[in-house]
Amino acid sequence: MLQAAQSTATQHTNPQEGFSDFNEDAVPEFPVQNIDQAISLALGQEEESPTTQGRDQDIERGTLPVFVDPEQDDNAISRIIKFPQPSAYRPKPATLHALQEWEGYVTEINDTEFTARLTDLTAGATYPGEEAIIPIDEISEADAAKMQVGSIFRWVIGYERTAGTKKSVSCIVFRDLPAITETDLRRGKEWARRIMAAFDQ
Amino acid sequence: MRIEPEISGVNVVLLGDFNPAILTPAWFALHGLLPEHVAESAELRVANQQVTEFAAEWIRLQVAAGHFFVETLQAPHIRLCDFVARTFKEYLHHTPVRAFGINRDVHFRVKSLAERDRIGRTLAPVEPWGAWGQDLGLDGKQGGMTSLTMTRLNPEGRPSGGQINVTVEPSHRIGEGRIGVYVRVNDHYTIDNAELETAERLIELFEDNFESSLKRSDGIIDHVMSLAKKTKET
Repeated sequence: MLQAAQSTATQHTNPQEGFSDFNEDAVPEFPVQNIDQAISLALGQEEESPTTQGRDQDIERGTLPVFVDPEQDDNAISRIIKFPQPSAYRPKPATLHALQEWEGYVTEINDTEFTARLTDLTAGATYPGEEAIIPIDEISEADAAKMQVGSIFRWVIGYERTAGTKKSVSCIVFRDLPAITETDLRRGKEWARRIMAAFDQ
Repeated sequence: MRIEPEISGVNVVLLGDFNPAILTPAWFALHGLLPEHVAESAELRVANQQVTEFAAEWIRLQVAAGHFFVETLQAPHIRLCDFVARTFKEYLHHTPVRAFGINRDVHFRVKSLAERDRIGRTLAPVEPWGAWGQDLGLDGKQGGMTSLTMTRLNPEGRPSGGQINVTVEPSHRIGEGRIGVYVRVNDHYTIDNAELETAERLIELFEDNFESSLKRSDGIIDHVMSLAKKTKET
């Protein structure tokens, strides 16, 4: 593999054509009068090839305004227009990669700890095979306040990396599940009917 | 994954017709989709009729008239699923949504430039390029693969029009431009029945497939990681 250099492909006869090259010096040549027009113009490019990718593979050619790589280029919007930065120093967001993940549901709560049944998702388990007693101090105040028997959570153990540092992290997050809809109920009934039919055969 | 990624993210892109102006941190807090303290600490970069973008704790969101993009770099990724599902099932269920992508992005570091080249050469051998290909040396100075995307069209068990796109590139963000590898998996779902072009049907599809999609993507990425070792042994 080779690190891609700035493209010199023939379709780029005008270096100002690429939004990645947009800079203050280029503003007088750009046919916009205000920020709304600039954004509209930039976003208009997207209509040519809507994609659900987080980026477009043509990023190397510097012509994609918004669906450019949020990973490879973590400041895609700034490539279009220079929005004011809130501070001179913006730390890179932390990335937390899970080495181990469980889904749990709360079975018992007391003043200092709660008990939960855990399903080991990393091992591919589909039913709870472990039980854990977890100190309430391990979860956020907001989660502790709304936790009740039956609450579902994810417990992740992994490495968190931020700007060159790496540390092991244990993180419990209670799920914010969508409310059950009529469609969910209908699908549940259909599922139950299929199961019953299977028993009847 | 056999190599711990240095950057590991998941993002979801929905294509449809959205109203960026209302989708601010305050709106998400008002409806309980984000906790108030998260919304209050959000870094709002822009919010107007064309585009809204903000980042808050574990989430980054960007909405324009034609797309809704939400990303996290922090496990557990199921939070992203719950956030999107609640937003579109409980509040934006009449929003026209035509397609969505469940995207996995990983940057990982290999031990040497030679290892990275082995991955590239396994996926894109130089031999078919003839005499010119032989000039692409192994030291990374003469050239090699810059980007490769493989696409699976119409995967089984989902509405037609779906795609799984896997891209492998050298990482621009880690490994000093020499020993980082970037893999992206775009798992694209769409429905072509105009009557179903509301959020409801697609969000059902999204919820049903979110975790299995990420599991499949992680398997693909793990296989790409394995190429460094496999080719080294042979």
